[in-house]
Amino acid sequence: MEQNTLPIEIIVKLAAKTGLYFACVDGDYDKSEQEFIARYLDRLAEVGDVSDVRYMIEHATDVPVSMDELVGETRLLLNSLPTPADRQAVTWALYRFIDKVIHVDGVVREPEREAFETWINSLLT
Amino acid sequence: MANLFNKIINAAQAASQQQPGYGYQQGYPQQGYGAPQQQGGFGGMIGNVLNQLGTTPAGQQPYGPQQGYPQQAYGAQQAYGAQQGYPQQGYQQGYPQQQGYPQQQAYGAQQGYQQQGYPQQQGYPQQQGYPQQQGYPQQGYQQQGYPQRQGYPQQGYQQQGYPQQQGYPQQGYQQGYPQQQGFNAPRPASERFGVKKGTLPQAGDQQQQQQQGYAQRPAQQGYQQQGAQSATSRFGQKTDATAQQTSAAAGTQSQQISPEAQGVISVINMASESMTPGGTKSFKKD
Repeated sequence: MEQNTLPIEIIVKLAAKTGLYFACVDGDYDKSEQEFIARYLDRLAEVGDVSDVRYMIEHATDVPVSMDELVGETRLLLNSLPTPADRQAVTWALYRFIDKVIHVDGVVREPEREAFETWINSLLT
Repeated sequence: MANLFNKIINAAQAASQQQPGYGYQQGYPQQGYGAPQQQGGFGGMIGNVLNQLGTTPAGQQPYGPQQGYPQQAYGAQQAYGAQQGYPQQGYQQGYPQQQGYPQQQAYGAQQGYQQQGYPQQQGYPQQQGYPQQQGYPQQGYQQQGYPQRQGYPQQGYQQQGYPQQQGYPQQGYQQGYPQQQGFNAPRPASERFGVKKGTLPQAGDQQQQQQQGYAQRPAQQGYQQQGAQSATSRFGQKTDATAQQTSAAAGTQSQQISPEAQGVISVINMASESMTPGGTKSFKKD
């Protein structure tokens, strides 16, 4: 099951899409979206040059992201990892990330819960 | 960007070295998949996902229906229990499947085992007839060996050992103490039976039967061993598959996460941290 790991651009973008999708699933978070993107880029910049991905991340959600697209790219990412342990660990990280996003305002609303369940179940099927 | 990824990986590795409990490593393998339940009720669901991802790529069903697995596999183990009386050793040794997972695939074979590998059971008068062996000395004796007793002990005894009784009910009894020895003859009964071998060929025949029965016993053991071996060999194939599953599952827990995965997780963690500035919940609606 050895496969090539996806390019970092795809991973960075997927993380941005995932955060934005679940942050926006129950409403409009334009300002917060920008804040999230800015902080995200800053965090990445702490590690290295993100000029190549800055535009891409900033416009990651210009077109609304669908759950199918999100799940598809997540599967692509997981399947690109070389070992089951890798897939589990990355899924776990994504799970915690999404869990944090939907809990960020202290309340898990029904659309958030449904979307989270859909995301999880989609990885099973 | 490859350079960025490498830096992320290096940063993740450095962070994980500085903080042993960093990120996923902390909560992931050790706590197990039940832990997420505490976070919001999705734990069981994500646990299934993680378990599945431990053996298959995302979106693929792992090795058939795992749902039905435990019961079936355990049923198989129970079926083995029946064999515990015997080939336990060979069985248990030959069946690492009992450790857990593998049974699923080994299961069919196990069924087949009992059915196919043990036609002997059907043809195994020994197994069913075994109790006879256990109960043999008694049953056999009583039925066949002791008829003589019925025919003997009293009549023959009295005739031989106690004629005095007739003539000497009590005194003679005391006097005839030696006969008490003869009376206690239940011990010497074997001797008496030995004597009766000559006179009562049935006893000798019975002993021979017992011996024959016991002679069959080792044959049965050998037979079972053969069966067990053949089962093991038959299981060999499935054991291989099983071993793969086991190693995959075991490896899942013990295997180190690759640098690529560490880099991916670092990116995800960065996104997660970026959701709330300074680690506080500030992501608010407009």
